This record gives sequence, structure tokens and C-alpha cells, in this order.
Amino acid sequence: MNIRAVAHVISALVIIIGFFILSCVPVSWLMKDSMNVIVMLAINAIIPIVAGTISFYMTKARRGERYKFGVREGFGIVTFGWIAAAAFGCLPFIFISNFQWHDAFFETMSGFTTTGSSVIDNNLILMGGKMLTNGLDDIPRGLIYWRSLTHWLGGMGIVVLSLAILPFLKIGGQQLYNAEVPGFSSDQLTPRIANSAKILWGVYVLLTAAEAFLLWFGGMSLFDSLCTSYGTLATGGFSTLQSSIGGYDSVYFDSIITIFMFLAGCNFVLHFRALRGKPLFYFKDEEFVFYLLLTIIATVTITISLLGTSIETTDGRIVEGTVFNSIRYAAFQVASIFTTTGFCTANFDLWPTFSTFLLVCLMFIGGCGGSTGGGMKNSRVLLLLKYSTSQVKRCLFPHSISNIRLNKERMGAQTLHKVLSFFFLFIMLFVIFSLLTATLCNTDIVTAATASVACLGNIGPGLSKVGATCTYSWMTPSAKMLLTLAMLLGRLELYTVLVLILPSFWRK
Amino acid sequence: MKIIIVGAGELGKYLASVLSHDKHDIVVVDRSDELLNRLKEHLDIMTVPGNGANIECLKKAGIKDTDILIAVSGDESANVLACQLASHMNIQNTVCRLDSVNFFSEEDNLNAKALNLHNIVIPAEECARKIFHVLSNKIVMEKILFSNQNAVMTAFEALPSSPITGARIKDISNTELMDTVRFAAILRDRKHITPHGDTIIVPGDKVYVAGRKSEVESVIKWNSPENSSISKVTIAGATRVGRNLTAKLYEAGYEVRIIEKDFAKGARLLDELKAGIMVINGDATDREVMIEAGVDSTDAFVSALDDDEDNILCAIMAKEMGARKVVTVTNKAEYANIIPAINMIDSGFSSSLVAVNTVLRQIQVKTETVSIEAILNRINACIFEFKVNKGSIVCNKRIDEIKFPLSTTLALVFRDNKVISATGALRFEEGDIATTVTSSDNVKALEPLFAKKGLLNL
Repeated sequence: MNIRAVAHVISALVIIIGFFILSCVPVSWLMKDSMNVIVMLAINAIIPIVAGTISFYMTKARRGERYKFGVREGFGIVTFGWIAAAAFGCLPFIFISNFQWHDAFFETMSGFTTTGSSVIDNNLILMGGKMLTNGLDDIPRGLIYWRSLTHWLGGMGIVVLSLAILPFLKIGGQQLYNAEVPGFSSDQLTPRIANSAKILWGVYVLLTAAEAFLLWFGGMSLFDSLCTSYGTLATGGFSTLQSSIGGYDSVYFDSIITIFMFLAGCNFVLHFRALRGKPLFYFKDEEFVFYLLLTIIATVTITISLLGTSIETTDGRIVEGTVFNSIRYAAFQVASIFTTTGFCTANFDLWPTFSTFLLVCLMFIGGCGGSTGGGMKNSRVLLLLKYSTSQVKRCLFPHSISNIRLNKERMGAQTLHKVLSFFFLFIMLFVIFSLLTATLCNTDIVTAATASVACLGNIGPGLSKVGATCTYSWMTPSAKMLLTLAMLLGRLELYTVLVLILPSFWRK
Repeated sequence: MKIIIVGAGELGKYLASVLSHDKHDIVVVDRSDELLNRLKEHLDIMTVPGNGANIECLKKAGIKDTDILIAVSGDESANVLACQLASHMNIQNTVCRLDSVNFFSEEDNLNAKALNLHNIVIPAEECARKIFHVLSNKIVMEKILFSNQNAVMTAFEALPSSPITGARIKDISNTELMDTVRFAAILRDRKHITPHGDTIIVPGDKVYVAGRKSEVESVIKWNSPENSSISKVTIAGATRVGRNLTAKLYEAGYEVRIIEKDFAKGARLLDELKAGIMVINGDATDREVMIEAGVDSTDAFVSALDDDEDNILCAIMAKEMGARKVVTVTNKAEYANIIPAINMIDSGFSSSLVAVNTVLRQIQVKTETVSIEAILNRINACIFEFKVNKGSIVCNKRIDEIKFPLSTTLALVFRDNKVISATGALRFEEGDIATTVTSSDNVKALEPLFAKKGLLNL
């Protein structure tokens, strides 16, 4: 790996992060944060800009040299780029709200990876031993805006974003794109990656604007509607309220957010085709149909199981399990967990075991390939399902040529092997992370296992001590660092990060 | 510009790499997933697996908003069909790769136009022509033609006995002749040297001389040792290149012998040419067969087998056995760069590289100012032709007043179809075409000098 070349690109990325922090300054000013906060935010924006600029020029290609970006550099740029983004992005948390560094890093990584696991609650211990007594209400608005913005930037991919807006980096090949964009099939829109990235970001911006407008139209404040939209489209899960979306208690908001969470979990290429006037393409895509069917089945079964029970919302009210209420909370929670967003309106931890268990199962599947969602992705699960069926069939027809098709294309053995090993790695990492989390925090199995899958699948809330109304603030620093690694692994789809462990990655 | 390339073979691969680095949008169509994946690993292009001669597949590749279609797959009928489909979809510029000119028939009025093909490239034919050019004389290594018919650039080897050897370029005795030609580049120990007046030519240098055809001829003649003319040629392999070359050589009156392993192929060649040439049936890498073909006493040996590695070995064997000049053909463009490292091989040509040059010239994807003429086989350099625009930096300036990037040589200037040697005292006029030898990286530095001054390059 050419470390200078990688550092060069990452410097550019850090500068961009700086400018995005700077964009929070006017928001902070408009939201009437104290002057102290505004100045600190500006300083925290200038740090990455200056540091990035200096290292950008220091790592510039020497005269006559030309950086070549190969496979190794691609993986290096993406993984270290994300770590650098989180490292610089967590500065405002440390300097403005006095977070301890591991809490700040956890919160920022959770933001960029669109996990949405938060450490902010009434018991968070700050630097110097003080406690954050009022939870999110103690955090300046400018910082909350930055927290939601990290979601939005990470959702579509920060490295792809820099590819789209920084053509001078001249990185050929598609390693970067493939290393960051979820899913295994590359449904390329245009011959040049930079153009494809621009189109996808365009769709993303459009959908975000649409949701923000609809929420604002329904009476949410502009600040809240923007932050919520960032969290929705990125399938993140940070909300502006401590009690998440349940705190608004509005059927209108719930339904709008449910719809947009579902859309954020779809392949964005399909949205682009639909916007170009081909809405039927949705139903020609097998992955979408599978995703839609699973959503419907889960919603219906959970609705039935909720009928007649009493549902506790996240802001502590108890509502009756009428048909309407059951559908409302079931649909929201299914969309939120399935797409790996992690917003909550009801404390699903208290639901019947069937519902809770089904939601945990959905966590593993996650969104579609090419979406902003995490998890294993519907296309992979669908392919595994087909593959397993064909293996059963093979018992009868041992000499048949494998005919596993996804969207009519026959999948080669190479793709199948990658999907199979992805499945194994995902499950194995889930087990390892659960075990380590349980050991490091000395906690129960349910908490450790769901915390691990919630971070690995970029969902956010789990069950028990990390459930819908709880946070991760009680965990030990070592467990928090472990879970940030899980988030990064999950967001970059394992291989991109795992490849860095290989000694041959570092040796020439 | 958006360009579809059908076929990810050697030629398609090379074209995709050159064109995509020139910031064009490239879509490559091929049947082999594996070839496409390999290509995609290091190029920013889109790939579509499938048959390029199928409308559905072309539509998937986005034929509707494509500017140029280049069909360079190994199957000539598929190429023709792909180009016709493209024309049907209103694409104004297509390039079609064919096996040989025999595809057309003059008496039946069957030509490219009748088949709706815009441009034709025949790699075997082009390569055969290139080889034919260097078979005129023992010391000639490469010959490059320009958009101007009268101009030529020839590379030849400076022998210890050549009159130019050992002298500084500005001191070379035959001043009258030297004033009319330009030393465009020198290749020494595989390195590109930009010649100056003070450069001393040492034995073994490959010297690129540019100028009017007749004058360049005289320079070659002046530097040729006695009996350097070639009359007996042995060709290994009745491949496409081999057959094309045989026909050319036979017409030009050379004595040609061919070695071909496959009896049927050899017999077919004889049937096709209907001429008095000798075909030896045997393996060209076999010593006995080589002796039977008289390689030890031949003037020139050309190895044109299908297998690149066999070609290289075969050429080395022939040289060892006593062939006076050996030329080898390779498919892979990468090999063109390493053949100069093999001292025993006098000249090497890559049919892909030759064809890439032709295609680039045909599609003229460069801007108004620049057109690429050739990528030099042996040096990592390109020949570019720049048009002097009105109001550009160089217009109405003496050449010695202009600052050119390092390692750039201004070779020739074409003015009203006349070839002028680019000496320091020459003043550029509007509409002149300047020919330069430079590395492809330098083009970006050169282009603004010749371009119109616009808002963008103030």
C-alpha cells in the first residue's frame, strides 16, 4: 500500500468533513445557541480544514511521480478514511459538550456508519466526572445538527461523495466504489463512477428534501424535520428527542417516516429509474419484491400478535392494542428495524416474544443492496435461499449445472462463494462480538447479543439493557471501542475492513 | 464522448485503457465475464456481458446516447453486424475490425459504404504493412506515416560504419541533407533521448529521422552499409499477418518462403495466392525445419505465429542460425515494450498497438487542436499533430522563442500540404500543423500553446 497516496486522499476527505462541520455554524446561530458554542463549533471546523490542508500538501505527489491507486490503496482509503472522518468528526462532542473521547468517538462512528446507537442519556458521565443530567436537551442544537449530519454523510458513503465532488483525485477503477457501496451486484448507471455517484447523491438529496418538506408541512419544526430526514434517509436513527420519534406522538409523522424508512432501504438505482418515469422497475427487481414481501409479512404477523396487548410508547405512555394502534406501531417498528434505521415509537422490548424475536431476526437481514441500510442485505439472503434450495434439488439431480438466477442473470460460482463466505463471516463476527461484549461489560446474553448485532448490522437499539428506551452509555470504554469496530465492519461490509488484517495487504 | 467497445480482447483492452484515460465514457461489451472483470479492476469503465452483435445487449450498453461504436472482437462477421446495428440506431461513427480486405469485393460493388460501415481497421493488414516497410532495408526499424502524404518518420539503427555515428548532430558532415530532415528522437539502451545539436550518436542508437520522403530515403541510403538490401524473406506462420505479408512481399518481387505447421493452412495459402512461393510444412520452432527453409542464409526472418512466446523464441533462433534481420510479431501490446530489450531481435511489432493507432486516428476523438498520430512502438512516447490556431500563443512566433516542455521534440511542420523542417528560425502561421514527439503526459502542457485563447485557458 502506498501510504502517502492514501494519506493524500484521506486529507482531502478530512477537509470536506471540516467544511460540513462549518455548515453547522449558521444552524447553531439560527437555533440561538450560546456564542461560546458557535465559536467552538467554528474552531472545531477549522481544525480538520487546516490539518487536512497541511497534510494534503505534504503528501502531494513528488515531482514526476504519479499516484497509482490499486486494489490495496482502495481498501486503505475507504477504511482509514472512515476512521479519520470519525476521529475528526468527534471533536465537537469533546470540546463543546465535554464528552469523554471514547463516548465522542462512539457517537460519531455510530453517526457515520448510520448505526444510530447513542451514548447520550441522563446518566452519561462527562469529562471531569460530571453527569449529563438532561440527556439530549443539554446538547446545543448546533451539535445535534452535526450529529444528524454525520448520518446523512455516511448513508450514501463519504468516500463516494468525495469521488463525486473531487474529480481531481483522478482515482480510476472501481475498488473505492465497490469497497463502500453495499451489496454485491454492481448495477452501474453510467460508464464513469463519478457520474454514477453524482446521480445517486442527487436522488438521495431529493428524497431527503421531500421528507423534510412533508414533516415540516405536518407541523414539525424545520430543524427537527431536517435532522429527522437525515436520520431516516441514511437509515441512521439519531433523533432530536430523547424518546425518539415516539416523543412526537403524531400519526402523520409516524406514517411519513415509516414510508421514507422503507424507501431508504430500497436500492437507490430503482428510485432513480422511477424518477426517470419507470416506476414499474420496482416490481421487476426480485430483491425489492422479496424486501416488500418480508416487510408485509412481518408487519401483519406483529400486528396480530400486538392485538389486545398494551403497548408502551417510548415516551412512557401506555396505549391500548387496538387494530389501528397495532398496525401503527408494528409498521413503524418493522420498517425501522428491518431497514436498520433504529428509530423507535414503542418499547418493543416489552412486546410478545414472537414480535421481539422476529424483529431481531430482521436485524440480520437489513436493507437492500445499493441502499443506505446495513445488515446482510436482502439480495444476499435471497441468493442464499435459492442456493440452499438448489443444493437440496441437487440430491436428486447430481449432474445438473447450477442455475441460480437473480433478476434473470445467472450467478457465477465466484459470486455465490463470496455471498456464502459473507454469511459465515457475518455470523461468526456476530458470535465473537457478542462473546466479547458480554465479557467486557459483564452483562446478560440478550443484551450482549443484540448490542452486537445492532452495531454489526448498523441498526442502533437492541433489547434489554440496550433496548428502545436505553442507550449504550453504561458500557465500559473497551466495549464501546469494540462496538465501533463492529459498526465499521458492518457498514463497509466486512471484506473492506478484514482485508487490512492480512499481512500481505501491508507487504508489497 | 461516450464510446462502446465490442470485444475485450487485446485490442479492445488497449483501446479501453487509452480512451478511458483520455476522459471518455467507455462501455465494453464482451461475452466473457472474466475478461470484463479483469478490465474493470483497473479501469473506470462500465462493462456489459453479452453478445455485441445483439440489439438487446447494445441497448443495455446504452447505445442510444453513444457517439462512437468500435467493434474489435475476434469475429469479423459479429463486428460487421454490431456496426450495422449501431448505424441503424443512428450512430454516426463506427469502427469495424476485419480479418482482411478480402471481405469486400470490388466487382460486386461491395465496399464499406454498401455495408454501412464508417471506418475499417484490419490489424493483420496494418501490421503486415508496417513489417513490409521495414523489410526495405536492413537497418530500418520502423516507419511512421503522417496525415501529410509526403512526410515520413523512419527509425534506423546507427551502425559503427555509418557516417553519422560518433559525430555531434550539428557537426554531421552532410549539411545539405541534414538541413532538410529532423532528428526527432533517439532510443539508446531502451531509453528515450531527446536529440539536441550537441547529442553524439553512438553505435547501436535507434535514430528517428523525420522529413520529406525522398530526403529521409537519402539519409537511410547514406547510412546503409553495402549489401544491406533485402531480397530473401522467410516467414514463420501462415497466420493472418503472415498471409497478408506474403501477398505484399510477393507482389513487390521478394523471394518468400513460409514455414507452417498446419498442412491445410499452408495449402490454403498457396490456393489463395496462386503464386510461386515455397511453403515448408513443419514446426517453426524446430531447428531441422528452419534449416530446410534456409533460414541460415535468408536476408530477413519474420516470425508471425499465433503464439507470442513462440514468436520471440523463434526469432532468436533464426538470428542465431544466421538470418541477417529478424522481425517478430506479438499480439500483446505489453510485449512491444520488452522486445527492444532482446538485442537479437531487430524489430518487433504488436498488431494490437498498430491497430490502436489506426483506430485512434480514425475516430479522431481528440479536440480540434490535437490528433494523435501514433504511439511509438519502442519508446514510451506518442506523436501528436497540433493545429496552430489563430490567436494562440505560438501563432506568429519563431520556434526558438517558444518554451516547450522538456523531452518534447518538434519534428515537422506541414503548411499547405508542404513539409517543412521545424528549425528554430521558422515562424508559425495560422493553419500550420506541427508534429511533435512527446510523452502522452506532456500533451496537456502542449495543448494550451496551440489552442485558441478562450475563457477557459486564459
